[in-house]
Amino acid sequence: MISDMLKPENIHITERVSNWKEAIHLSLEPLIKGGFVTDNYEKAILESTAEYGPYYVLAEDFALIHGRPTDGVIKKQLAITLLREPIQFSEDSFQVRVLIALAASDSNSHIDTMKVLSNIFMDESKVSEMVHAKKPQQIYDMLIQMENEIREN
Amino acid sequence: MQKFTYVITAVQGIHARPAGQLVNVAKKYESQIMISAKEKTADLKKILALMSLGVKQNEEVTVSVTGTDEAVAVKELKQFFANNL
Repeated sequence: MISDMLKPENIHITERVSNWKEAIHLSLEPLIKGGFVTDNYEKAILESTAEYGPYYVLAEDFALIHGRPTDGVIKKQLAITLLREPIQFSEDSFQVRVLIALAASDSNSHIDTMKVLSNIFMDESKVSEMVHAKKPQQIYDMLIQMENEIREN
Repeated sequence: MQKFTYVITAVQGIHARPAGQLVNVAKKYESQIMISAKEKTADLKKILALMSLGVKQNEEVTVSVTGTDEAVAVKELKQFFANNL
């Protein structure tokens, strides 16, 4: 499933960002450029963050940047951004280095994809593995393998 | 131990935002709080564990609460589900 939604060219490693809004923008960029989401998707995520706080920061070093399917998803897709320097989205939330941007086209595929990613990243060692990746292709291979391991169990 | 069941009515199921809020409610209490759905069980104080259940609209969850503050925890949790999910 992840392999249907992820291309190696949509995985980037960046040294640092100045602030959390830049982190969100950068993580969504491959989805915007690739035509998977409209510009409204980013706007909607920022608005939701203002209202609810950074609901997508799910664990130390790990955020799943996403909005509602109705916020401007054209086609489902994932993109991954790894920051070398961690960023914090609010004073009391975890520092983040792995940003997975998700565009899901309907509620069920939204929940299904979050289910797979949650299953993988519940294991802190998986987060740590990804944080230490040296190249985008490595991140891609890791995630595909991690998904296979989940499916086997 | 007290438990209750609830059928999810929200179109988006238990997605990240209500999951985070639900976990924050559970974390207020000392009791052990578990949530089950589709034969899998997770600790309701852990957001990734909760989201790994992938609960959708029309699916049923069972919440089990065990501890000294279980009565008040069940009350607040039931209210949260009713108001948000």
